[in-house]
This record gives sequence, structure tokens and C-alpha cells, in this order.
Amino acid sequence: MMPLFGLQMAGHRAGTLAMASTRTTVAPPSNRVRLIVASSVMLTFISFWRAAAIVLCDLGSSAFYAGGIAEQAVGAAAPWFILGIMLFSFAVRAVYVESCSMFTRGGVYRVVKEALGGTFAKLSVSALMFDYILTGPISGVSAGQYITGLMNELMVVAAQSHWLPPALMDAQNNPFQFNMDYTSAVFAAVVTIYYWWQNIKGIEESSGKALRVMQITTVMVVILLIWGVYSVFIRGAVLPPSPIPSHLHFSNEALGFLKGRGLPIFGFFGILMAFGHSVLAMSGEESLAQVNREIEHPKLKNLKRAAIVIAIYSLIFTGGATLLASMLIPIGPRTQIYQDNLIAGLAMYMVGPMFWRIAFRIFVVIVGFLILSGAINTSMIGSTGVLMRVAEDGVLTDWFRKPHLKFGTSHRIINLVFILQMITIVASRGNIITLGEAYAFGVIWSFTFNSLAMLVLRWKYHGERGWKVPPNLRIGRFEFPIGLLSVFLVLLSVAIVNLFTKSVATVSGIVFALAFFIIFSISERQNMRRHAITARQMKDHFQLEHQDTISRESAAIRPGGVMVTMRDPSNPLALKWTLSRTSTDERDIVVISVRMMGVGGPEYLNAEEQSFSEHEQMVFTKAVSVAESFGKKVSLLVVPAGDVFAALVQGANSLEVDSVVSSVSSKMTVEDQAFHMGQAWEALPEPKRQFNFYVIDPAGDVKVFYIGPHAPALSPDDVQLVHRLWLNMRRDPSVSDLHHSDIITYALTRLAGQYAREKQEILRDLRNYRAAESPASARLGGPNLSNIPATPPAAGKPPLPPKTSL
Amino acid sequence: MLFASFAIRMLEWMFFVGLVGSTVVVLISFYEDAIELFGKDE
Repeated sequence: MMPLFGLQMAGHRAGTLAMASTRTTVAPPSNRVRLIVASSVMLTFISFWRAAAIVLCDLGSSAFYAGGIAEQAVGAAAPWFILGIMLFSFAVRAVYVESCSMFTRGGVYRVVKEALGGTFAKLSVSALMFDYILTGPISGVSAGQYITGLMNELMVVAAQSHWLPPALMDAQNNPFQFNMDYTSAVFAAVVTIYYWWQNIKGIEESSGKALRVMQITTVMVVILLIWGVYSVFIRGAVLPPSPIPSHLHFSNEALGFLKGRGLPIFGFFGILMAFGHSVLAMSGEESLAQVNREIEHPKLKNLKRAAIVIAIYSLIFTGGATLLASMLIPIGPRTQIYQDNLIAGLAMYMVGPMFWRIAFRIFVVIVGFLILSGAINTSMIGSTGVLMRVAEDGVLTDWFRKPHLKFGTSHRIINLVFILQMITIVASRGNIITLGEAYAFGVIWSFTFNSLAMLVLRWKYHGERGWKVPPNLRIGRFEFPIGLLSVFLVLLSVAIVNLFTKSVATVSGIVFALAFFIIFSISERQNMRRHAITARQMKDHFQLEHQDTISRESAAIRPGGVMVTMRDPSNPLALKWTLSRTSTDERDIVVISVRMMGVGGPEYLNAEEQSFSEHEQMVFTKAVSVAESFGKKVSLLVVPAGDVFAALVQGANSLEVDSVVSSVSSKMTVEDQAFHMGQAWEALPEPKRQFNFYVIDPAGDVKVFYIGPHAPALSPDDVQLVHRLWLNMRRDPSVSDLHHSDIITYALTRLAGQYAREKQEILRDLRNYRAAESPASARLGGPNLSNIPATPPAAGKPPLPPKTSL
Repeated sequence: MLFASFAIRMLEWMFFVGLVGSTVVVLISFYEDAIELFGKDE
């Protein structure tokens, strides 16, 4: 069974469907094209370790700057507040686990919309956008601070060793020093531009990359903690001052609008203020809800496991590193030199030779660069995903959803996010304290909206709920959510206090959130009119039919059909190629258009949640007109998916097609297309079918790849060699009944055994062998793909397909 | 000023009551996490 939407020509099978899933059918006139709308989204699933790694790339990155920013605001007791925040994040995490147990994508937007309605949902998602947009600049600038700090330190060391040329020394014989803020801003801008372009091209989201980054980070954290604790014992360092009101020393900026008002703010209220200034340490929790959709079965159990890993890791890393820094780095350097790159300072104040301290600092900077620049990408993908989600919901106009002509990405949304991030970087001029001030606004308000909505849903929502935030007091039929209410009270009080103590955050956050709210509201109003027209046109042309999932039977496709991909209405090349070579009396043609769901998109879409964009309408209409021009019938399918290749292989498998036909991608080679298809096939659960993948280039030349295990294409020389061996071996009477296949089986078994012992040598020999082979023969890396020399390029004719009718 | 002082006290009350409740949530979470991590799979 697979999820998809399907369009089918001219009601040929309207009465013959054997549906296995639920459906809502709009009564059709006979001349309309059938449109099956699926609800489930095609996904590839990941382990809880990978999910935790993705979230930690965002959440863990705050360890690099949260401690320094908090100490600037509240004084030397800051590490206790960071630790307190990290402990409190266990409770916030519990709220997200409950929301995700109710909705697969239990992020702020969905939860608030469900509980409080569209207006509050738009407000909360505006706050969340502020959080996501600022994650990029703050991470980029922080990475810049670490790199600039290291460069300046190396300049000093080089000057002391007389390695620095005179041109880099000033009149007082001091080495040249880069301006920390401006250099960091330039760095952040360059990395943001890099990731903007990667996202425009359609960067591959990889949980594997996140896992590797977190593995390297873990090595750093382990060294940091062991060496740090050892240094504390050797030095006899003391703990930071306890978090009591008399130990709090707020900077002028940290008082915000309350400065000079004569209010009683330095008692217990001071603790509340200090908590608010440390709250950015738990930014990134929302990513848990975003990644939940992709977590493998059993989802709730794995979600909990991921949440545990995330909470413990960030408590140890962010809390531990900040505490150690305050114990080992003297207050002067800590607040004047290393306030923006605290972990680098920690490396320099460990016990041990200078060489190893500098080496570890370089390692810290490399890890910081990896995780912080990863956070820039996460912020871009995350904010694009959130905007895509609201666009899919009709809250942003279709103009934003139109895919890039060449790369097929949501370039307008990416551009919007990029512009906002660049404006933030320029406006902050690389000052991380300013960015940190502003950042907390989005973090705290999105959490507050989420917990409020969850509280409301305790009474309003009667659907499935896998888990509840404990404790809950039951009196008769009434259940009092003590835990959830407690978390909400803390978040709300901190959010309100931050409104008054974080003036930069309040002003910029409100302006930003209001601007987004207005854009969302106007867009939604326009969209309601447009979508009503589009929906009417769609109903005029197509027979709408909603299905949870779909199979070959439910789509009324015969086994062994042909599936054609279609994304661009102006480029129906693959469809024309297929139509010209297929007798639709013998084989069904299915045109598939993948509807990409943003990161954190839903796992399930109700019929009313699916609005067709003008672009999709154009694709369907074009496909139908091309089919009509050939006088042939096609089924048109639209698949909601998180990954295009996963969608295609799942589609091909569920519809039991023999062939998939696609145009050449504008952003990858034909071999890469086939490789990705093979990888997606490998990830497909059993049972799975093999199929042929045809790629058509604009000149009409075709390459065909077998997807799935298949007999290798042996050259005549290979066959000759086997035959000669067979002749030779059969001379021995003991193996007179030998078959050709026995020789191949024996050779492969022997190679497998040898490979287990001498992997590197065999791989080297194989590389040498391939290099000696004809360079023209294209080969693929995937074990289950092989490139069949489908057609002489000059001829430009299609290969002979497995079935003669194609 | 009176209103501001009242609001401050109110926020303090909300925060500390919430913090006590959240501490309970965190303690229960620790217990449940330990079962989740070290308990047997069903």
C-alpha cells in the first residue's frame, strides 16, 4: 500500500475500483478526469539516535554561546541558571513528547491551531519564525567569534615567537588583531550565503551528517569534561557564587525597560529575571517536534528515547561546560576576552602544556564550526519547513510555493529566510550579546504558546493521546494536569518578565512577529478566494477522490505498468517519450508528480488540508492535454512525500510497475539520479519489486538502469572466460558434471571470503582494474544498480524494454 | 507603582509555584527515563 493522489483520464475506470482504503468521492460528471487524493505522506524513517543527533545539532550548539551571554547579563552566578534551564528543559521536553504523541507533527503551529484557532496559530508561528530566523545569525556569529578568537590568539603566539612579519605588527609592537564582531559578522554572512545556495539547489538532508557531527562533538565533550574535572581537582577551583538574589549583578542592558523605575526587582524577582536571561540555552526543543515525523516504529518509544538522549546530552554539555568555564577561567579573561567563545577559553585554562591546550582549542573551534554552521543550515531548513507548512495550509500565497525552474526547490521561501537572516547579521554587526538578547523572545514565546495550547487540549482534545505530562490529579471525572500547568506557569511568567527586561528582544520580536502575522493574515485571506477558484476548477476538470493510502488495486492499475515522473508543466518530455512507445491497451501509464512536504511536515493530511496550488493544477492539466494529443489514456498521481526518490520507489513498488521514466534532472547527473533511486530502493521494506529506471535527456537519448538485485550484464569476454574455465575444469573426471554456474558460485564465494580478510587490498585491486577498463563505461556505486548501455548515443533510440510494448 | 509591584509579586508567585511543579515533572521524568533506558523492551 502506498500513499498518493491519483488522476485518471476521462473516467475510464470510475466504476471498477476496488478500494482498500477510505475515500470521499465527489460525484463526477462522466467527462471529468479522476483525481485520487491520498492522505499519508511517503517518508523514510530514522532511528532515535539519528533523530537525537538532528535535534542536538540545534540544541547542543547553544552550549557555545549561552553561558557567555547569560554571564554578561546576570553576573557570575549565571552557570547555575544555565544548569537550571537545562533541568527545566526536561519538563519542556515532556510537553513536546505529549504533543507529538497526539499529533505526529506536534509542533507549535499544529498544536496551537488545534487548541486556540488560526489567529493564535499564526501568532505562535510568527514567534517561532523569529526563533528559527535568529538561530542562523547567532550560530554563524558565534562560530565566527570562535574562529576570530583563535586567529587572534595564534597571532599573539606567533608574535611572541617572533614568527610574525613586521607588516602584521603595529607601532607598539603588538600583533595585528582582527575585530571580533565585524570579522564574525563577515564569517556568518559567508556561511549563510553558502547554505542559502545549497538550499536553493536542494541540499540533501542527511541524518547521517548530523550523526557524524554529534559523534565528533561527543569526543570533544568527553575530553572537555574529563580534562576539565581533572583541572578543577589540580587547581582546587571553587564553584560560582550561589544563585541567590544578592549574588545577581545585572548589566544595564539586562534590566531593559525596568532600569531606573525604582521597582522591587532585586529580590526573588531577580531570580526570575536571571532565569529569563538564560532561557536561550534550551533553544532547539521545537526541532524535536519537527523531526518526530521521521522517527521509526515504535514511534512513541523512540521519540521518548530521542528526547532522553537530547535532554541528558544538553544538560551535560551546555550545563557542564558553562560550569567548568566559570570555575577554571578567571573572571577577568572570562568576561572580557572569552565571553563570546567560552569553550575556547576553557581549553586555554586547562591544566597541561600550552601546545596541547592550543591543539584542543583548535579542535574546539573545528567542532564549533561544524555544529554551529550545521545550525545555520538547520535554521534555514527549519524556517523554510515552517513556512512551507503554513503555505501548504493556505496561510501563505501560492507565489511562495512555486518551485524553482531548475532545481525544483521552494526558492522564494528560501530567499525570504535568507534575506531576513542577512538583515539580522548586518543589523547586529556581529554582536552576539545583541543577538542573544533578541533570540530568547522567539524561544520563550513559542514554548509558552505550545504549553498553553497543550493545556487547553487536555479538555478540548478527545482523540488518541499516547502519553501525558505527569503528574495528573484525578478527582472523580475531572483530571487536573498539575505538571503541564506548572510548566506553563514557569514559561508564561518568564515570557512576561522577558518582555520588560529584554528591550531589544521585545521591540525586534514584536515588530518581526507582527510583520509576519500581518503577512500571514493577508495571504490567507487572498488564498481563500484563490483556492476557492482553484478548487472549483479542479472539480470541473477532475473527479476528486480521497484515499488514506493507495495500492495498485485501489488505483485500478494493471501489474507491469509504466510510471512517468512529471514536475514541470513546460517539460513533459518523459511523458511524450513514454506515450509514443507504449500501447496503453496493454500497459497502464501512471504520471506521478511528487508534492514535497517541508521539513517537519505532516505524516497525514486530511482531505480539507490539501489545497492544490496553481502550479500543480498546471502540471495536471498539461499531463492530461499531452495524453489527449496522443489519443491515449493515463493515470495521474500526485504523491505527498518528504523525499522524491523515496516517493518514486514506494510508488513504483505499490503500483507494481515494471518501469519508471524520468527526465534528466537539472541538478544531478543521470548516474546520480539512478544512484539515489537505488539507495531509496535499498531503504524500502520488504516485499519489494525490481523495476527499470529510464532517464530521458532533452535530445531524446535514453539510459536505463535496473533498480534492485538483478543478473549482472556480463560482457562476451566474461562469458568466454567462464566457458574456457568450464572446459578446462571438466577434464578432471571428479568434476565432469560441472556447470557454468558452479564456477561463478565458487568464484564469488571465494571472493567473499577473501574480501572479509583483505578488504583494502581487494578494493585497491578493484579500483586498479576499473581504472584499466574503458573510461567510457559508466558504472554506478550502488550494489544493486548497473548501467546498461541502453542505446548508442548517436542513434538516440530507446532501449528495448523488458516488455515489448514500451 | 502599586500595580507594578502587585504584578511583580504575582509573577514571582506564578514562577515559584510553577518551578515546584516542574521539579516534580523533572523527577518523575528521571524515573521514567531510567525505566525507558534500562528497562526491558516489551
